[in-house]
Amino acid sequence: MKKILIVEDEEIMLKALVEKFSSEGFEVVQAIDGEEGLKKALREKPDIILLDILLPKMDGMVVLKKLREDTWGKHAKVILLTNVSDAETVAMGAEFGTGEGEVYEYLVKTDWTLDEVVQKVKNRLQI
Amino acid sequence: MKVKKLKKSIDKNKEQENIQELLFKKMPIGCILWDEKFRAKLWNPAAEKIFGYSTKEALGKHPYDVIVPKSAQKQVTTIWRRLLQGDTSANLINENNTKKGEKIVCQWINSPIKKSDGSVVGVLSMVSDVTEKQKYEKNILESQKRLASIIDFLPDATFVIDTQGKVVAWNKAIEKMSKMKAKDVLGKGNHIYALPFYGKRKPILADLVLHPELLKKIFKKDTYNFIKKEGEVLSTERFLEKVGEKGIYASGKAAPLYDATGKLSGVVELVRDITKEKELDKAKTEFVSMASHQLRTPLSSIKWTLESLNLDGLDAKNKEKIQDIYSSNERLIALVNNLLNITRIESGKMKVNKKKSDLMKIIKDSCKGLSKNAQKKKQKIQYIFQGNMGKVFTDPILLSEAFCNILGNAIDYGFEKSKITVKIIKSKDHYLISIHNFGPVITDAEKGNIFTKFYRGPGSPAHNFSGSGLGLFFTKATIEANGGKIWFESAKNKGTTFYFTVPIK
Repeated sequence: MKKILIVEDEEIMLKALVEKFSSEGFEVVQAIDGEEGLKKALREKPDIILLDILLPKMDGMVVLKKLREDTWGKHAKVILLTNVSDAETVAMGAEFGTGEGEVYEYLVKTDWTLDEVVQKVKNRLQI
Repeated sequence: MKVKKLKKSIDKNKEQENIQELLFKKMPIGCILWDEKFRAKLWNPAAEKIFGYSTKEALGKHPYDVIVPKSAQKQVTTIWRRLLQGDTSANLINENNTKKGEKIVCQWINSPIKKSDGSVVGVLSMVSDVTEKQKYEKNILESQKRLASIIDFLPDATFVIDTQGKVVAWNKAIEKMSKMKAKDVLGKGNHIYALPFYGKRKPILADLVLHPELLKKIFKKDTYNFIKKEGEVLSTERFLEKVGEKGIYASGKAAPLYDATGKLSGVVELVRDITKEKELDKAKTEFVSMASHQLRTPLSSIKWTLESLNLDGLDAKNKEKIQDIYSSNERLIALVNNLLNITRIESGKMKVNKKKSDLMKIIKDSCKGLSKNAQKKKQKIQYIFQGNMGKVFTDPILLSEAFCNILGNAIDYGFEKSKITVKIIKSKDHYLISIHNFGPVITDAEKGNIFTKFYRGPGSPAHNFSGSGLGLFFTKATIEANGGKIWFESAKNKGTTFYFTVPIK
């Protein structure tokens, strides 16, 4: 069973994601702010992390940066969730990389259906 | 020469006498011979015409008794004295009277006539009436002054150069903006007018009007982001960091000036400080951008929650209602995306990632979702490809969005059961893509608005809620960002065709 960490502060969205990934057979760990997200990532060492960018307490980009400072976290697979598809954000993400050959990956939430999100995660995990 | 000939006639050269006589009578210039006592000895028909005194009336008269008013007598006396002394350059423009009492201005060219011993025996005067000429000159001078003061007090910074690039007008507003005084600039060339704006002498917008070939050079050096041409007026906008304390955003307009014969005589350029407008516009764009981003969060919550809803217990009617909510939410998402795209265009943040792309693939694959809409309206979409379909250098995502927007319109506005034709024609350096449909004609009144923001054609089908009025505005911006052009034709019974180009390189 693959373990997924979902870091998302919007409760409704978090609920939908958790439910979906659980029903798809994932072990789901959830966090509602950046600090909790980072703590749980380092403790649980999930196979993949869905990371929102705009988060209370600690910004998603900071979470990513700190994660990359950790020996395990350096290679953790991350997909950024965002409401922003601006050039600036893209550039920021590219700087820190999202694991696995540092290919930067993000998705604009409104542009994806839950099924597509799951598919993207599965592709990334090669399952 | 004439004077000489007349002198000879006085010397009684018989043969010449006739010619002199004719010259004297027929010449259009007044010709008067004065004796040494300043009395008229000869008075030709032209002089009769100028002053109204016949030869008979004038002969033997002193000019002060007939044609020289009191006000001019002092001047004339001085001239007369010089003439008696043999001065050959004692000419004068002065006021005269006619017989009717009118005041006229005359130009007098006077020559003393000497005997062989050198003593002056008389004076020959050639006189012409220059009243009208002077009036014209005065008028021209006055209208020049008036024009200069109009330019001077125009609220926009304005200057004028001649075809040599020399400054001929530099108004108060530009003095204030540039901190450069008119007296230091007027009459000077060599791009002096660029100094206060760029800190150095260089060709600017006004020069482009005189020398359109400079365009490439000016762009190369990154002087302007864009230059628009409307009729003969060039306009641009840019930040001028040397002006004011913190620099200003300026809009410039330059237009050619022509003389009466239609020859280019110079250029007028206006510079307007649009910093405030820019700031306001930026604030607006940022607000729209922020609001749209905020909207996305609840929109995706709705989207994902609806998706995760278990519909098993619902009947078909209720399932359809859920689907309707989902569709409406999707439309909202699309609207927000459009708004964001527009804020990106407006703030110059639209990312254009050009790369080698397969045009045919973009066209065929990009808007599959639309074919459903066409099926609903029983429309047929026909694709025609002419020439080799190779690679293009473009942003595939932007191009596909632009194409889908146009095709989507063709479907939405097209009649039921009508045919839609998508044609791609390769030419030397670009592809021409045309999308033709049969639908309501775009009227001439609408034509100017079609690419503007928030415009929706009156032909918009009432049931089509999705139109945001942003589609073609965005489409035009993306096509132009990719280096292409967009236009359309629409005529009754012929349908409507939208064209756009995609450069190959």
